[in-house]
Amino acid sequence: MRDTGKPADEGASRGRLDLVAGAPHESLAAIASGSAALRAALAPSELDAADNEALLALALGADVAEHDAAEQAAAAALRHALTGQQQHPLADWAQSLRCAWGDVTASAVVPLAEADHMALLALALGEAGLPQPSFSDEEKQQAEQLRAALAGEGSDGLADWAAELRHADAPSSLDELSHRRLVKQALAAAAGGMEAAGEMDAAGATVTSTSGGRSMLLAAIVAIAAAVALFAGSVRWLETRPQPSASAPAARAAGVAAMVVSRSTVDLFDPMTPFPAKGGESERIKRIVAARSADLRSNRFAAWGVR
Amino acid sequence: MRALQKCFGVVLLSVMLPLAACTESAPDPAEGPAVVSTSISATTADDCRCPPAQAVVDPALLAFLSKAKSLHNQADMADAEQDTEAAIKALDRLVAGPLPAGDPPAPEVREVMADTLARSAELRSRSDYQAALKDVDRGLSLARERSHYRGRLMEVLGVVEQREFKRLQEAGDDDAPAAKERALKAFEEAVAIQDDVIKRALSGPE
Repeated sequence: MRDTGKPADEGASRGRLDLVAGAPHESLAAIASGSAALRAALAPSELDAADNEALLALALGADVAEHDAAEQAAAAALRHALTGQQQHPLADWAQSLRCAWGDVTASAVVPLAEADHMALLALALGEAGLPQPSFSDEEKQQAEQLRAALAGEGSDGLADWAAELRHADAPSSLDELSHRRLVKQALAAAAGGMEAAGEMDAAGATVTSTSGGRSMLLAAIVAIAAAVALFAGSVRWLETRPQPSASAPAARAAGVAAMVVSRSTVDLFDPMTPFPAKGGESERIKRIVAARSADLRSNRFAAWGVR
Repeated sequence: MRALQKCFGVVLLSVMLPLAACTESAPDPAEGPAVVSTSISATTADDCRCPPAQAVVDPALLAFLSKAKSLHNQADMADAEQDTEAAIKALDRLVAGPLPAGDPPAPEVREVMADTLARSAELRSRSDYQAALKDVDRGLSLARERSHYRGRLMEVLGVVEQREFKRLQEAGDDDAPAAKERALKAFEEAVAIQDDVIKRALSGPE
């Protein structure tokens, strides 16, 4: 390729005359028409009628490429019917095809005719599944009853199910009271069967139940009361001696008989060693106190009935 | 409201039941020495054949003995400082103070009193012969049995009479020989009592 020194985009908008430069003059026209054809293929413009016919002849054969006047007239009539300018027996069918193709505007949508609807059902479901065109009086009455129930007039067994289907398809907004009721039920169930003692606040949250706290408080009060009673009973028991009971006189008498009586202290000292005339009094007194303290303890246990 | 009533009922029950078991009254141990009979059949007065009651060792006796120990310790401290008056004063708080109830007093009380009076007599004999004699006489009235307590009192009496003898002799008093005689007699009696105690101990329990 020869470097012409020009940017490539400038050559894109027009023919690459540089490519044909140097070609013989008599070939330039042919080359130009080929280029135009190529551009048309890449970016086709609207085909005119003549070209359309030519192409059809190439594709289908020359025998079907040509249309007689009757066919052309019928096609024109159908075209006018689709645009709403006149009536045509195939206008509805043609319109349905256009709707199925999706190339329609809202204003051009034509509701499916009952006959066409039944025909389509017959094709899809077969003759056995085709709904009966007529309904019994009972069926009509049930249908009317269901319609009334859905409208809030009366009740019907299928009304709740039908309403749920309708809400599932197009749910409406929940009113405030229903919302609170549902949240309350859900939270009460989530609490594990505990009785919901609180009430919903303005934001919809449930107040925590106080039954657990009351149980803890009750247990704490009982424990404190038991400890106080035990302490008081222990103090009284240590300070007093139990009364002789009619049921255990022998045990009480045996305990009393076992008490240590007051007696001389000479047995606490060596009889072979006389007391000195001076000194030793404190040591003797200490020995006497120690011995009699043990006797007192024994007497206390005996009085309590402890052997 | 119901929960509150239930709670109150539980608390009331928890407190009243244990306290109800502690409503028994008991005799006041401070009323005096506990006197008890050694017989186990003392249920009625009609069939009671109880021996004479004997005093048991009770808190009052221990209180007196503990007091005696403390006062003797005070006397020891005063004696260590050569303060005879303070020692006598401490011992007087015991011999002149209240005694545990009982007539006659318990043996421990009499013997401790006798021992205390012997000490106070020895201390008083340094300056007051008559007061010392009083303490000895009172001690001897308490320690009537021939025991080491009485023997010590007799020995202290001899010491008292001996000091009196020395004083009288130094004073040239004619009563000096009498004092000496009394001192010797007291010492002899003390020896006799000790011998009796030793003989009794050697001969064993009767």
